[in-house]
Amino acid sequence: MAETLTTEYALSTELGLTLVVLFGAAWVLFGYWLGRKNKTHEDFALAGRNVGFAFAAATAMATWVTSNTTLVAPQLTYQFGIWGMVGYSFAALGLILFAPLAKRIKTLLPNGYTSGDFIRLRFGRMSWHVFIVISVVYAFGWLVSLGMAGGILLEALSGLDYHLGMTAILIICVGYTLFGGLRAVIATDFIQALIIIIGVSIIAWLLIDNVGLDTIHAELGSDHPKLLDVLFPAAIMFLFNNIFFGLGEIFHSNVWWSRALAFKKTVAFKAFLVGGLLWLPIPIVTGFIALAAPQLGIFPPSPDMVGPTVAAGVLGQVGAVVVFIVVFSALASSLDSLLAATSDLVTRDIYHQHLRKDASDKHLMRFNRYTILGLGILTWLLCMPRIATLGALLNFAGAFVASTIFPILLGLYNRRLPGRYAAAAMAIGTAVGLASYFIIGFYVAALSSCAVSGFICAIGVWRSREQFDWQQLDEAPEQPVTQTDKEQVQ
Amino acid sequence: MMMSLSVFSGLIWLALVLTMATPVLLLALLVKDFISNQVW
Amino acid sequence: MPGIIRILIIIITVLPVFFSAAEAQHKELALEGPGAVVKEGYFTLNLIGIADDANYQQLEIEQSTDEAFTQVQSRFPFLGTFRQISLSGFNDGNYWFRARGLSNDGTEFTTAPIAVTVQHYPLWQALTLFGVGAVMFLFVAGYILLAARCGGRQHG
Repeated sequence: MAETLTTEYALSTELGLTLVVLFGAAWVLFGYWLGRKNKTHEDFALAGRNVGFAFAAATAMATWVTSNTTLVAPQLTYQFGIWGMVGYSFAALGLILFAPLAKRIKTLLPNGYTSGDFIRLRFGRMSWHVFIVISVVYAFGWLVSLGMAGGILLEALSGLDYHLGMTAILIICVGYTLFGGLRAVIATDFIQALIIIIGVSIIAWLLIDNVGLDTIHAELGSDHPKLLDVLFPAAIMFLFNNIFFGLGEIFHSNVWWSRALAFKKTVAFKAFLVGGLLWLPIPIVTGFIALAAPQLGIFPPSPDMVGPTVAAGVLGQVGAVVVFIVVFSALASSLDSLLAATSDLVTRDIYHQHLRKDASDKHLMRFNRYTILGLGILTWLLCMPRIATLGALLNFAGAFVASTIFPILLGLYNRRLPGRYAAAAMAIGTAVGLASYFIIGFYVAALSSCAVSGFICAIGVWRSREQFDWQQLDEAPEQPVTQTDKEQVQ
Repeated sequence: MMMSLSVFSGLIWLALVLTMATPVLLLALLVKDFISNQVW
Repeated sequence: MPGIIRILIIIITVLPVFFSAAEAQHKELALEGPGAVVKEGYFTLNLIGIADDANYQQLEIEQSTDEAFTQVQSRFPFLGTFRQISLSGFNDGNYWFRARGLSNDGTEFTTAPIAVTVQHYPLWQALTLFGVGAVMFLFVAGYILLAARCGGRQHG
């Protein structure tokens, strides 16, 4: 084992590049094949609003798996121990609690396209502006960080040049999203989910077999006792902040709204519920990998590298190939979802609603494709210089997204919350969250943002005499073209 | 307060078994959708 | 999951690894640790001051309870060619660390020891925050469950 550790890279550059090219070609072709079915913009952006249960549950789970579950769950476990992995798996609550919301969204907005649509129709322009800022900050931060993580991880595993790796993963994801739209994103998610789960299961199984749970437990107990401590203060503090961060991410992001809108009506609720339940144990399995590190004598340069390093270290070349494929799949399954959802948001909320209200369906579909390409190029440009400062700037996204939890919730279920209070809740919640992030610490950003925003919403509901008419959310008459096209296709 | 070996092993095994069951379940669901023509 | 923060932390922490070699030239070999008291039980140690062409062997970190290293408690090997190491899971206390290794010509060296103080957050503080979070969460979850039940009926 010492030998594998002293070699610089777990995989040869040629092998790394070959894997990238093979997977890339397969996915782009698959996307092209799936995309032939897309006749209308609704087909392209929302997969015809008719996604079945299996694909729906798998895509909900796979998108939430992302690179975080494969890289960050081990990192948090390495730092926070037992609570790190158990606490991380509680993020499944975000998906589970979104299940009733998804059903509600399908009912209230049968013809909606994006989360921005909902905010505009329910709360008006002012809230919409605040919401778009939050969405764009979040989406771009995630896109850029995924692109950069892709480049850095491919380099760390195989020595493949950062720029080459980052460019390759962006081209592949832009490629199949461009051809296939949401249908391709969802279908590749299904396959990527299977790859990720089987991959991490193999690694965990072999670790238990080779090292043994009792040995790992004994080593941790003697040399790293805090990792087994169920009363580890920092880990306890991290727990609920992390849950609220997750709730904010899912509740506001168009990645999840577009899925809710794309699923069959009868499927939306149970797909998110099942997706969340299926996701629940995965971070424990991936996190466990990190706990084996001390016993194996593996101490990573930075905590985030612990997962891949342990897997590659203990399983050698084969393990490295598995890790490479798993991480690559995980990055792709999030990157494609974000590209699709963000381009929908730009096409629908900014272009169609503000610039070209009379745009035809064909025109929108073309614009949507250009937007995906544009987002890809913009992401690529931002990833080029490896700007760490941008990373540092976006480090507090929890404060942004957690402020949307109550406005979204009350907006969906309560007739009385007025738009100006929703806007204030999101803006002030974000500001307080950011302030507490800097003044107190990372573990209060999402919590305080959500609490303040909830408080402002409560005042809004209490003082308001409004009774919002839910019918206003259904914009059906504005798009007769889409409707008839749709029926013809069916 | 340290987590005991038995709880620790139980937790990891439970998670691993549930995780390994997931692909089987997902594929079964897909086959079911496919048969009833409900995939998309 | 909490997407941005996590991945960006990855990027920020990994970045210096790729740039550190160039900066480190012509400095005296030394170990660098966290500047302040560690409140989370995990921290990163950096070995700085290695010339680019240096090829050290068996590089590892030694841990002891005293500055003189009368008894080495643990040894942590560096990974591959990295000169940075992340350690975690420490209880409250004072720890001493130094790097040990063999240089090109086979001579053994150790760096000057550095101290790391670990002082976890008080438990009451952690549990208070936990309690606040739990109450808020139950409120959100309860609201969704209630609203989903009533809201669905109202609309449908």
